[in-house]
Parts: sequence; C-alpha cells; structure tokens
Amino acid sequence: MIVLHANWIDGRLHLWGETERGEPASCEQVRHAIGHAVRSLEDDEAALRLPASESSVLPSAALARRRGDEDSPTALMLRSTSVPSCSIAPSDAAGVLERLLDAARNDRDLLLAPSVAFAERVSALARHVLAQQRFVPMLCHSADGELSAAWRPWLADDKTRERATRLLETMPPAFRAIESDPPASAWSILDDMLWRIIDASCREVLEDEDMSETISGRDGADPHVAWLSGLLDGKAEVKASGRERQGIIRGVRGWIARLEERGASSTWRLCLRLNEPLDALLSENPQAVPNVPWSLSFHLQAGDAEHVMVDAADIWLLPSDGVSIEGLRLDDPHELLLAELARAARLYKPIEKALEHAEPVDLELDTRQAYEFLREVRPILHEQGFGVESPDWWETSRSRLGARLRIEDAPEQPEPADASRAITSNVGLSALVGYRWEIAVGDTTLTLKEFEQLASLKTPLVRMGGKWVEIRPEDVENAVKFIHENPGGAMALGDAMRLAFGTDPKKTGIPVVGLEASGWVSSLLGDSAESMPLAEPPEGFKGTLRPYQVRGLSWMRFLERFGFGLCLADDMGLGKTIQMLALMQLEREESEQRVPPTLLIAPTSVLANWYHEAKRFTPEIKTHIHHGVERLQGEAFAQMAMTNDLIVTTYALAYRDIQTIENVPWHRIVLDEAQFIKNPSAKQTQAVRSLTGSHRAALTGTPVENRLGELWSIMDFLNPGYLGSPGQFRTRFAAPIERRRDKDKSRKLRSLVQPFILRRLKTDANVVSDLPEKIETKEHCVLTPEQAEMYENTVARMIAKVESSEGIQRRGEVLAGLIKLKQICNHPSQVLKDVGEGERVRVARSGKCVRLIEQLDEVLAEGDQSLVFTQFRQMGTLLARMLRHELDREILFLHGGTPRGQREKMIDRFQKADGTAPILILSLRAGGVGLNLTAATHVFHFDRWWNPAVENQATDRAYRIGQTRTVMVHKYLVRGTLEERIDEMIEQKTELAENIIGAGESWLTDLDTEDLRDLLSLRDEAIGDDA
Amino acid sequence: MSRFQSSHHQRPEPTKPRRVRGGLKLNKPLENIATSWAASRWLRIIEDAATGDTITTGLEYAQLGQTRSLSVREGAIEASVQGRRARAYATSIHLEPIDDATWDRVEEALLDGASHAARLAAGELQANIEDVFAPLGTRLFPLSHDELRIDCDCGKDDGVWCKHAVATAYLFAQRLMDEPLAMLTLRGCPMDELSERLRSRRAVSGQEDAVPVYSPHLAGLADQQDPPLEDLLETFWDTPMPLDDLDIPIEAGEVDHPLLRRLGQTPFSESRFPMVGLLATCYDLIGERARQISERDAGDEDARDDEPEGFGDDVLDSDDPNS
Repeated sequence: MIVLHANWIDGRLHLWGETERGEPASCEQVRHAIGHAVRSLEDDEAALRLPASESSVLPSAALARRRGDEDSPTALMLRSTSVPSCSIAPSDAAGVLERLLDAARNDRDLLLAPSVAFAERVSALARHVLAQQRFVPMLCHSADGELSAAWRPWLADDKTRERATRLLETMPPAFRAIESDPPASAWSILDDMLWRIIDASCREVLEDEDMSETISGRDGADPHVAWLSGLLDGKAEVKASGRERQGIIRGVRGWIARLEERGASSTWRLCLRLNEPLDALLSENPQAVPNVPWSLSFHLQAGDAEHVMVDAADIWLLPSDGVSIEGLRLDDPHELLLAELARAARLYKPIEKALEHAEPVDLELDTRQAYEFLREVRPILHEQGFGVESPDWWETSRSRLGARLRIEDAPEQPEPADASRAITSNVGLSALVGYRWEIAVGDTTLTLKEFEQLASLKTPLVRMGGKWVEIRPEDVENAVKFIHENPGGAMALGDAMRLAFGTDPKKTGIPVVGLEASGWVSSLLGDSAESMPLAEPPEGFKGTLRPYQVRGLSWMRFLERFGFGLCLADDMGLGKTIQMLALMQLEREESEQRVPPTLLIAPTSVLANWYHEAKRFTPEIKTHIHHGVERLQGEAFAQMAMTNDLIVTTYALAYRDIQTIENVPWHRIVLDEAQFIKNPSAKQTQAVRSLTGSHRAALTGTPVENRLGELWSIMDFLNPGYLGSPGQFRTRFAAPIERRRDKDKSRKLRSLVQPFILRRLKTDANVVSDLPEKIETKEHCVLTPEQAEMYENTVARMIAKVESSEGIQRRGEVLAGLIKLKQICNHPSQVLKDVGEGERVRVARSGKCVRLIEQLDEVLAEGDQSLVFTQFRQMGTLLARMLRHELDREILFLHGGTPRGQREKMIDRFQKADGTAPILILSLRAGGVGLNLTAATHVFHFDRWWNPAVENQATDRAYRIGQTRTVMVHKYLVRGTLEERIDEMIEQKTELAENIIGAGESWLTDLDTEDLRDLLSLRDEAIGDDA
Repeated sequence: MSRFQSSHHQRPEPTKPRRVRGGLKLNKPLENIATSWAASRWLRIIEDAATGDTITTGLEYAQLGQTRSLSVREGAIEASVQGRRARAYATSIHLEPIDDATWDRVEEALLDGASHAARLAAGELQANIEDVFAPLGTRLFPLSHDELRIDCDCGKDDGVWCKHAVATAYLFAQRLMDEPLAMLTLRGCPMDELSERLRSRRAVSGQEDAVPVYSPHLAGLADQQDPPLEDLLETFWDTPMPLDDLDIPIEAGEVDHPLLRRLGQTPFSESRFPMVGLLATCYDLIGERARQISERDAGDEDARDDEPEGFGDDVLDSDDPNS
C-alpha cells in the first residue's frame, strides 16, 4: 500500500509517497504507483516542511485513517525534511494526475492524499482556461533585462477569477508546505502551476502544427515577429536590442492593459440595451421579420447601482457640467457619454455610425444585426465593463432548437404477467414501438414543413407563438438533414430511449432534447412510482404495508408486467425485503397456475434475515436456504426448488453451484445488496449474469446512481446491453462524469436509468409521513467457520466444567462461559487478543463485523450518522480500529474511561453533524446516562444486553426530544447461537423471559446442565462457510 | 474626460505668453498619461493642490511648450518656464528626500522580492511599490500636496501654486510615464548604488524567473493572506473545502477569442506582420485541442473496447445510406 502526495516545486509536479509503515516511499515505489511510463519523469527529491512530534515526522492524515491509528501523537511543529519524489514536467502533469485518480478508484492499495486530487483540479482549471481561450500571449523580462515570451492565463475576468478563487480556497495546507525562503504563498504556487501548464500546453499544440513556420524568414526586428518567435515553439527567448526593448515592453504592456481598461468615470459606465421591435410592426407578415427595426439604446449606468440609469435622450437635456442623480454625482455627462461610446465603438464598429450624430441616442439594427449583437458582441462588451441589457427571452433554453423523439404507438398493454412465461423478444426494452422525429423549439413542436418555411426566412431570430426564438443558422441545416435521414418507423423501446438520452449531439448535428410518449411508455418514463396504478396489498401478507411500500410493490409489478428488470434502491430501513416478499405473495394470489420459484442471491451476512422475515411476514412463501455443507445438488436441488417458492443462496455458492442452479426454470432472479456484482469480470458476477429467469430484480441500499461502476453492472444484469459495453459506458458517461463532472452527461444518464430504479429516502416528504418515529429491525448474522469452531469448543469445555462444579463456583463458570461465547460471536480477536498494536482487525473473521461494515457503508452513503453500542470496551476498541481502516473516516469512541472533558468534546463533534465524525461507538454503560445524541438516525446494538429496558435506554440517546427524523434501530444477533435463542424467548414472552428481563443474566446460572446445553449448543444454520 | 476642464470654472481671458522655440511640451493627452499609474498618482496631487484657473493656464503652458528646461535632482524638480515677461521664471517643486538609512532598508526590501527587482532592472516601478515603503514608515509618493513646497520667482507668495509650477508638475507627470524611476531620484535614492546592487544580485542568483510586463489586478487571489502553516497543523493534510463543489467544465466559451477581440490591433502599427490574425489561429488550435483531450481521455486505452461503436449512434448510423 502507498499513500501518494503531490506538491508543485520549482515548476514541476512532485509526487511522493508514504508506505504503510509511515516511511517515505522510494522513487521506485512512487514510479510503480504512477503505473505507466511518463516521458519527463525524473527521480528527484522534494524539500518539505511536515508536521512532526518532538521526535519524528508524523504519518499523514490519510495514512493514519487507513491504518486505523487511534490517539496518534499530536503534531507540535513543522520539521524540514526531504523525501524521495518523482518529478514531472508541466506538460505531463495533467495526464499523470487524471490517470492516478482513475487508478485509485479501483485500487485499495493506492491511496491519494487530498493534495493529489487538488493538483488534478488545478490542471483541470488550466484546461478549462485553454478550452475557453482565456489566456494571453505575454512578454516577460528577467532581472538581467532579457526578454522572453509566455502564454499566461488571464484570470481577471469575473467567472474565471471566481473559479480560481474557489480553487485557491480549497488548497490543502500541505500543498504549500514546501521549503522556501520566504515561505511560498498559496497564490504564488497556484499561479506558477497554472501558467506553466498552460504555457507548456500551448507550445505543444503550436509545435505540433509547425506554427513557427509562419514567421520563419521574417524580419526579426519587427516587434510582432520578435515577440512571436518566443511563443510559437519551445523557445521562449525574445531577441531585442536595448533600444527596441523599451519599445516592445511598453507596447505589449499597453496592449494587454486594454483588457482592464475601464472608462474615465469610476462611477458611471455606458449601458447598451437591445429593444425588441414593436409588436405592431410584426403581426402583419412573417416575411417582414428580417427587416423589422430593433433599437440599441444608449444609457449611462451607475456601475455599483445598476438600477440607476440615465437614457441618452435625457443626458442631452442635462446641463453640460453635471448633476446629481440619486446621490451620485454625474460630471460632464455629454463628454462622458461620447467618450464611452468611442470606447465601445472599438469593440463594436456599428456604434461609429451613431457617433456621426451630434447627440447620439440609439442605433437601429435589423434582425440579423440584432442577433449578431446578442450572440457575439454582448459577452465581449460585458466583459470589458459595459452594461448590456438583452431581452429576457435570450439565453433561456426554451428557445433553442432541437430534435425530439416521439413514440407514437406503443403495443397494447399486455395481459398481466403469465407466471410461467419466459422472456420473449417483444417485451421490455425489446418491445417494438413506432417513432418519429420532430423538430422542437422549447415546448413547441414543428412539422418538417413548418420548420422549412421558417428556415427559408434565413433569419436567426424568428417569431413563434408571439415569442422570439433563436434558430442558429448552423442548426437549421443539420436539422433538415437529420429529419430527412431519419424519417421514423419502428424500433425497440430500449433503442429509442438510448437514442433520446444517450445520443452524442456531435453525431446528430443538433441537440436531441428528449422523448415524448403516451400510454404505458409514458407511465414508465414518468415520475416512476407516483404515476403507477396501485396494487391491492396481498391478503396473505402478515402485517401492514406502509403506503410507500404499496407504491413500491405496485411499481415492481408494473415493470415486471412489461418485462423490465428493476432495481429497488430504497434507503436502508424502508423495508426492501418485505416489499419483495409482498410482490411474491401478490403474484401467487393473482396467478391461477403455480408460480415457479424465485432465486435470491445475497451476501452470507443476510441469508438468515431473509429466512426470518419470510417466515414472519409471508408464511405462505416456502423458503429454503441453499447453504452449508449438506446443501442439495443436481436433481435433488431441482426437485426441492420446484416445491418451494423462494430459494436463498449466496454469491459465492451461486458461482460454485452454478450447474445445479441454472437447471431450474426460475421465475425471478433477485440480487440482494446488488452492489456485490460491481466488478464485471469477477467470476461470481459472471455466474450470476448467466442465470436466466423470467424476471430480474436487484435490491440495494446504496445510492447506486452515483456509483457508476455499480450502476453499469446492476443495469446490465437487469436489462442486458442497455447501457452498452463497459468500454462504451466508460467513454460516454463514466469518464466525463467522474473526471469533468459533466452535468449534461449526468442528466442524460439519469434519464436513461431512472425508469428502472426506485429510490426513496427516509427524508422524502411522502415517505416521512408514513414512517413511525422509530423502526426496529433485527439483523440475523452468521458465524465464520473459525468462530463456530471456537464456539463449539467453548461450549463443550464449559459444560464439562459446570458438570464438575457446584454452587458459587458453578455460577462463576457459567457466567464466564457466557461472556466468552458472546465475545466469540462478536469477533474471535476479542477472545484471542491476537491483533497487535498497529495491525489490522480483519473484518472477514466475524459475521457481525461483515454485516456492520455493509450497513455502515450504506448509512454513510446516505450522509447519516450512527451510534454503535457494545457492552465490551475491548470490542469498542477493536471496532474503532476496524472502522477507521475500512471506512476511512474518523471514528469516535466513548467508554467508561473517557475523561469528562474529552467526552464532551466528542459529543459536540458528533452533534455538529458536519460529516467529519459520523460514527460514535459507545460502551453501553458509558452511553446509558444523560447523553443527547440526536444527530444519529441509526442505532446499532452490536451485542445484546438481553434487557429491553437497558437497550431502550441506550436507543433513546438518539430517539429523544429534539429528534425530528425516524430512528432506525438495528439489533445484531447471531443465528443458531445463544443470542438467537434468548431473543426468541424474549419475543415469545415466556415466563423464562420475564425472569430474564428482571434479572439480567443471573437466571442463566441457575439452569440445569441439560437446559444449559440445549440453550448454548450451536445449531447448524449458524455457520456461513462459503467464504 | 478630465475634471480640469470641467466647465464650472470660468475660463480666463487668454493673454498669450511669449513663444518658446524647442520648449518641453506636454504632447500626450492627459487620459493617456493617466494610464501610467505613477503619472496618475502624481497628477492626483496637482489636481488637489491648485485652483481651477491656475490649473487651466498651467496646463495650457505645458501644452504650448513654455518650459525651457526641466531637471530632477534629489529633493527638487527645477524648471525654467517662460511667461509673458521677457525673463523666464525659475520654478522649483521641493519634496523632502528620504534619508540614507531608510534608503538602505528600502533597497534590502526591494532586492528581496524577485518581482520588484526585475521591474527595477527594466526601468519600471510596480504599482504596489508602496508596500515596500509603508512597513518602513515612509512613502515613495507624497500622500498630499502639503508635502510639496513651491518656489517660483514670478512674484506669487511662496508656497502657493502658480501656473509655472503647475506646468512643471504636468511635465514631470509626463516624465514619470516614460521614466518612473525619476521618482526615486526625486526622493534621493542613490541610483548608482541601487543599480550596482541589482547587478551584483543578478550575478549571485543567476537565472531569475522572468516577470510578466503586465500583471492584472486579481482581487481575492494575489492579495490572499495565508495563515501560517504552524497554525494549521490539525488540518494540515486536508482540503479546507470539498473539492467536489468546484465546477470546472471543459468546454468552449460563449464566443470565440473573447480576449483577442477585446484587445484589438496591437500598438505596433509599424509592424508588417499580421499578428492578430495569427494569434486567432493559435487560439483556435489550442482551444480545440484542450476540448479534444478531454474527450479523448474519456475513451482511454483500457476502456477502448473492440465492440462495435454503438450506443445510440449505431441506430442512427443504420439509417445513413452510406453505411
């Protein structure tokens, strides 16, 4: 593992690293992490000032978090230190940084410090400046008077400056901690990095294009030639004799300074307003549109108070030496207006014509000129500090021309799903639909003929429905060509949707602005669950479905009816499991024939949950868990499957037993925690994808739309081929969205997948109203084989000891044994104490830990905060270390030994809920009293106290006055162990349970040996052995 | 336009002074002179000092070329200005020089920052030069006209601005435009010593970074104050704000060559090479490449699958008669 850092030193990008042990990585290790050959890479050294304790330089925050360091020593000072680095020339920096960010997304052993991500954003800003052409040729002089040329970013305009300012504000202190005297300022580093990357990029392009040829053989004494000779290739030198030098410096300075030239008055500036022609002139004849008169009127405007505006016509009536307007002094208004108009005329020639009048007031433009003014001149004038007012319809997306796909005749709504039907070629995304293309201008749709008529006017601004609409000349031609080439016809629904949302406008020539449909296609594309016909909750469902769950059920039934794969992605705790169970119950009640079984594939950690929930809510759904060493194979499995309704198995077994499993004609394949198949090349993923069934569904609690790798995998399982190949998906969506945060691509992707994903959040208005204040669920976990073996050995030894002892000693043995069993259920290391200082706590050794990580991952993704309670302080310590490492977050741990001051500090941080410390672990005793932790919406009871009163008291930390959201309570217990059996007893409210609740664990010590053995011994289903 | 000509001042009846052959003339419009920051700072002082009439005639004198000579030495600007009488008036504007000890410290500070030193070597003063003087308790430019003392033998009371002094001051402004270091001379800077030290410094540090001849005003960036790193030990490694909040799109701007259009033709009217046209081509090539790179990156080698190019476009392509 390596943590990479970036700094910008002496005009080069330095990458340096830390190893897992906190030592500086060698150049070789850094090179290896960079992963590919970089032309300009050199082994180098970076002189830095890093946080240190009295004795040594400390590990970086990223490394400390990854290692799960607790109480790392506090940094007391900065220490000058030199680390091995790889340095890279400005021209290669952007490429290297982007690749690193990509690589780190899929490689847990490559950790990037924030400085690397920051450096990448700097290179992105450089590219932004290049793409927007916001850089200038510059002349520079060195201390010895020599001249050189450079391409420099021009950041002085509002938008660019704002971006640069925001970027400067996000610079990590580490990025400027370079050794230099005086210390380098944040700005000087950012400025240097920006201009060097920009300069290098410009020269690279111009060199490729042999631009220096254009000046070869020209007179070197010509100032243009002299300056250009330092700009067009790798050479920056500008040759000029002493005399010429001052002239060229002054000339360039004066020229570039024009960009900041503002008028003579610091208060007043010229404002130009484009006024539409009067309606009266337009209504008669559309042919007249090109020639109607627009007017560009002149005004003086107060720069700092834009509403203070004086029309030119009024200015000529003012006394020439000045007046006060709204408290602002306006001196020499006539001269000022003329001077300002002259300044504007330099940028917009037609104003010269107005200056021919003695007292200019406005300028008349025809429609084409008005368009040119709006599109080309307005931005330039605005940037140069003039006020410009354009009609409010300009620049709204409503007025832009585009192509819209209309789906005309979708096939009739098919019959309700025939349960035994297999996927055929004409349902789902393969269903053939009739379509045609239309020209759309905002909400208005035009026929080809109407459009051609408009186009024949050959004017870039046309009147439609009483409004002005922009028709870009380049769009018109493309649109006509496009419509002629794409007359319409029939195609698969999936193709139509991809066409409408996934088309590259560069290929069509005009933007594709969406899809219009009617009937069920419109329901599908509509606001998902809200517009679906509601289903009746199945009678055989024991319990009450909340209204949003009924909507979810209806949505699933609707999608399946039309043959689509679906993904239910509700927030954790909203009941995805019971919605799926309700769907299975419903289809059995609706179908006259027997419905074939559903195969559900889930992580081992939740198998038991499915079994219990099915038993409780849908007892008619016969459920079988395909798991354990004695699981059925071959024909026996097939027979068993056909007599059951729900077969639950794991991802690992789905792969291992694929030949057994694929021989059953499944009604439905369901993936629970579907993010498990995010790696498309993993064998498990491929096995799962090869399974066939009439329907496919995925359940996940993670915000799948934001995790593009997962999104592709899940969508491709549900609706194969819909998002294209992984490569196509990466090119079209993932890369632009992840690298450039391309909002348009992101929106299109959402449109594509939105019909197939239903995600409700706990906070959604129409979910909140359905939710109680507190939802309790039990998480049935499994033991790992290691845990199971320890558990059985411990029980055997305990029983033996108990049999041979009496009285107080016997009680002691029982209590000691019980505690040990509970610890084994938590994590083997709690008993074995085999994790040394600084070593990782392995999650996979404990079924509960696996589940906890899964659930916390989802909670974090939802941006929520959690409390994790445990009885054992040691377990709290282990959990804190494990979570820090796995989740890469700061984890708070509050226990009985936490000093009061620190305790309050922790609680304040947690309650601040700023995302920096979203998880608080508490030992039950410490958490029991008086704390108010309403910033949490999830409460985990990692182990159990067996006393609901005590547990509730803990839960109430979060669920108390001041809590405005629903609190989700997750109670962990391990299947087949004493944890589950005691829980059953409490649930059944047996007489025994009364005792339990009253007296903690002491009642156990009074059981006779036989009862004890029965209570404690391990049942088969406890083990998750497929790891 | 300049306030000096504003019409609420009654223009006096012009009584013409004697003509001077080859006198020093104010031959640039005031607006142009004011584009030099040093000159405009000086102009502001005159503007505050003298009354309307004096300014108007003084300016006329300067423009007519009534000044026979003008020299700048430590502590004074001295000129000989021709009026209506036969003998030219000896006019001087005095300004207290900065003492030698302070100059030593100023030099240290100037030589410390690469950019000031480079500018000075090129005969330039940077607009923020006062930042070097202020911490030493002094200023290069006088804060107000009170610091200036007028001495003219025209007969007006000592210390009152006459038209001869105003003419002298305008010509000095014009001098500052071309030769801003004249201000250092006026303040008594040992110029020979300074240039010697600049030279020796060059020899030591060798290749200094070149400094742009023009730096725009970047409020919020260049004037950003960094807290000392020692105060940031707790948050040393992290970005103070989430990077994801930054929106940095890679796409073409609203219009092509936005800056080139605002710049217009270069001031090198004598040049025969069409520079602006060539720059336009450069801008196009560079902008296009930047946008292409970001698209090309999207389809990295590892992702460039061998599958048929598809996804939407394949459907369109099938309607294309050429495919």
